[in-house]
Amino acid sequence: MNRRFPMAGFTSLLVFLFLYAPIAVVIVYSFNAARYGVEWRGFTLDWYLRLLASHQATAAAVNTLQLACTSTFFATLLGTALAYGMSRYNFPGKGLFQHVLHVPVFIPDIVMAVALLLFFALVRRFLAGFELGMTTMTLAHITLQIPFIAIVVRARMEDCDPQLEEAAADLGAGPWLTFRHVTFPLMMPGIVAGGLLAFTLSLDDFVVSFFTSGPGSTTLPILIYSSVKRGLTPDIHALATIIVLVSALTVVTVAWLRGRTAVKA
Amino acid sequence: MTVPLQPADANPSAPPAPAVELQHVVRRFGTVEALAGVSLSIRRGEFFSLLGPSGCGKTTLLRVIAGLDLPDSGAIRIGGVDALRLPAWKRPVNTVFQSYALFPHLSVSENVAFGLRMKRLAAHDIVRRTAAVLELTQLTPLAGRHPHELSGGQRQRVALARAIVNEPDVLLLDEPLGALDAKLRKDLQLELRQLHQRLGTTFIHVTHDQDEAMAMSDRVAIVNAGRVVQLGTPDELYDRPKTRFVAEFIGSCNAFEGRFFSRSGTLLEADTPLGRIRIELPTSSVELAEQERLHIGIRPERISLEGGRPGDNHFLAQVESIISNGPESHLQIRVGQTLLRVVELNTGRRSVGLFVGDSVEVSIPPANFFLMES
Amino acid sequence: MASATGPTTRQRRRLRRTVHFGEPLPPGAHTFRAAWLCGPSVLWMTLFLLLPLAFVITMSFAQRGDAGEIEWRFTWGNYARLLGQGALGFDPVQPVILLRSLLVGLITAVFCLLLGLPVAFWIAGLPGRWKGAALTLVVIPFWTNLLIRTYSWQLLLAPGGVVAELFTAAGLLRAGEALYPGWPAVMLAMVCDYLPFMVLPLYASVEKLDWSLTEAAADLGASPLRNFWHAILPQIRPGMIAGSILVCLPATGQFVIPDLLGGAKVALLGNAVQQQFGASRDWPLGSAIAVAALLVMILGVWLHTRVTRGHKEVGLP
Repeated sequence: MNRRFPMAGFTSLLVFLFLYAPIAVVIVYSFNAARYGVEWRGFTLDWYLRLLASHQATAAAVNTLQLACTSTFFATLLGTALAYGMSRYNFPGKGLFQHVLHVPVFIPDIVMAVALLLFFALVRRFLAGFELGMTTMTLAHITLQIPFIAIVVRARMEDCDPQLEEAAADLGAGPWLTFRHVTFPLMMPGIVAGGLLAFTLSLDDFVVSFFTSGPGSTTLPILIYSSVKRGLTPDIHALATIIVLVSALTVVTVAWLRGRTAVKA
Repeated sequence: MTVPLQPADANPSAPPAPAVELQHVVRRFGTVEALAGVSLSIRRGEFFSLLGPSGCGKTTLLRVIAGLDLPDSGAIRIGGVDALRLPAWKRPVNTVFQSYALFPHLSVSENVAFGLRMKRLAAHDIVRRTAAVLELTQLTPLAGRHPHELSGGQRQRVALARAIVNEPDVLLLDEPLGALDAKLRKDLQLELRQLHQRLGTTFIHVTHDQDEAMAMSDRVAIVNAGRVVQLGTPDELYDRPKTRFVAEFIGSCNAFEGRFFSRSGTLLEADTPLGRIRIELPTSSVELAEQERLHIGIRPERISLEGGRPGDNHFLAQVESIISNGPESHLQIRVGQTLLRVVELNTGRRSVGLFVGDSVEVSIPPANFFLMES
Repeated sequence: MASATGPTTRQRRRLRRTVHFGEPLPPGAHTFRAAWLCGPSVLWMTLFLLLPLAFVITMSFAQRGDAGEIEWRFTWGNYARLLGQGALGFDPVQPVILLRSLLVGLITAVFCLLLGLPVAFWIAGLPGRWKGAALTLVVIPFWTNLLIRTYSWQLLLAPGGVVAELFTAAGLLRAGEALYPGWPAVMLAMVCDYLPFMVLPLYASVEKLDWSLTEAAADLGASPLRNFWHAILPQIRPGMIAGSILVCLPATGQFVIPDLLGGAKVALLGNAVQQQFGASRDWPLGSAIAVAALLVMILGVWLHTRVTRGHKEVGLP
């Protein structure tokens, strides 16, 4: 096919360069010894060291990880149960709910952020002491993550042959044993993939976090944003590089997992 | 835990209960009646086939026996025990699925051992029995592989092994050879038959391939539109098909109508488009002969073009077409207004060859005709 | 024990069950199971998604008092502002922002299409094993922090940098002017961000191409260009349209990119919402703008569903 469009390969290379330019630039500049400006002044690891020593960055990192872990945990529980329920059983309003489920996927993040901000402001009126902070951010993240996990797990379940559970029953496995030995092991790759993607989503989220955060609940993306607004410093590049590599690694892991455990006919 | 075949309080000197008994089983899907009142009695240890075209309900019947589906009405007994109060995992029945349904996350030996693990047998028992069945189905070198690494024929064997290792009272096979190519299918037909004789288990086998059903079974039930149309041994079905559907589903036949003329004992005379013919009736068809309008059939290979014996029906016919495909010749001959299909073996013994347009003497023994219900 | 003729009444009652994936279930079991499996999530989404959105919609009909507080009197005023009806006559600010955002979305889609087509074709032409890897490569940037990918354009487009020199040499940039903040930076970042959204559906269409049509066309004497136009383009149209929708409509609601790279010169829907909830403190108007963005999004999803009906296009990276 590529012989028909010999230019496709070359053009694609250019496009890929364009696509990865921003990421590459950040990585490169994280090692740039220049304090200001964009000229290359030599290789250095100083900025990484500065980062590790920065109290601000460490606190933000702790917040980010804590937020990601907590929200992913609960979202995985809720999302997996949801995916299982929707792929196996019917209930009134199921069709409508499917559309609702897709809303967080497509909604502009600013709209979501603003909606949650208003909602939490309303709750604060009625619930004394309720403030914006880690709790509100966790609640927001879970809301964003549930649809992703549900979609991934459901896709995985739909790939599996429904007759497998009948075969298990035929061979003497009651409902619980079937779930434990057949259904759940087959769902696992989907759950893991969904969980990893949800984790990345939480790590990367900025807009919703920004609007639902309070003092003391700064996350890494919020830290980067305020840094960009105040004036870029190279240790931010170091931070960005680390985040980018973590995200890339997660995506590659998920892709590799999906390839390895793909349901082969 | 599966329920044993014979209830504990059964009379030991009474004849053993049939392996599977169905009474007026009905299953509807919306307005479609997949099973429209099926009654069957399948004997212990027999190789029983359900044969019919796609969509006739045979797979539904199998699923109902396995417990993977519940009938809307009717009774099912497995070994004399009411099966309807047992869910699928408690019935002493195992199924070989058409798509094999092998567990992709388990190896071959884990797949095979699955049923034994569910029964909570001791580990060494599981290992021993699994190894024995893998040996029986020639799967031992593949024990550690996973289903996606196997060929179609190998997967079929695993599905079979996984079912028989549990030593079920009844083994259900849903078109087990459907996905395999012709040569493999022939080999596996033989293997299945040998397996059946070795194990002595009741096999209930579903297929749309009439050659397969006829070759492997002790008895065959022809199913159409959710009903059992005819039940009998392969020979009975072939020689005495009850309806035109059965006659044309198994093999082919020439069918025409006739009018009752006279009957003396088992010899029936009828007026047909071929003229007056004599039909030798078996005792089972005697009532059919009482009707005014008769439906008569004759198999193409039971029409002789090489002279016959006294007592045969004789006609003069014209050869309309001849197609030879090597071992056989397929001819169309015209007797009066009726076109008959004839199949002959090319034995090479014919002194003079046949050509289109020739006149030929046709002889049909009275016993070769059969009467059908409609 | 069963009678010889048929089931007892108790058996007949049990017969009304259905077998679901090998397990017999009494009638009503479906809904009960769905309730405790899906119930928590349904409640959650209602509480933390539908309720907040409903609140936004409600607020969009409220009024901003003179001191910045919210007056709960029903008014269409905010939506009127969106359409240009200001307090002192025709006020083009909001409608221009809306239209500009849609235009930005469209232009982004066009550029993504141009850049995405060669990539889609190239991936489709790869040997099987490498396709997955190539697609993952396309998708990785999507899962990387948008903030990082956006601010890095500040580095890329800094005056004195490679890109700025190129643009000056090409005459697209006057000396002394900076690429960022401004429209070039925003557009570059937009196209770069939304490219994966275009490549995936395009690839799904290209993958299913029937090449025999091009062979037939060549056989009948068509030049490569006409071949492409008549034999290939119609076949990949669903992928092109799906991809365009997936790019154009989310792009209208984008906030981070215009915020970081646009400076004061670029005002899009996303910035407008943030401004009303931030500096301007007009929450009702901000809500109305947010609702507008939401409606654009819903329109996009509906269009996408309609276009991809019958074609199994990839929706999510």
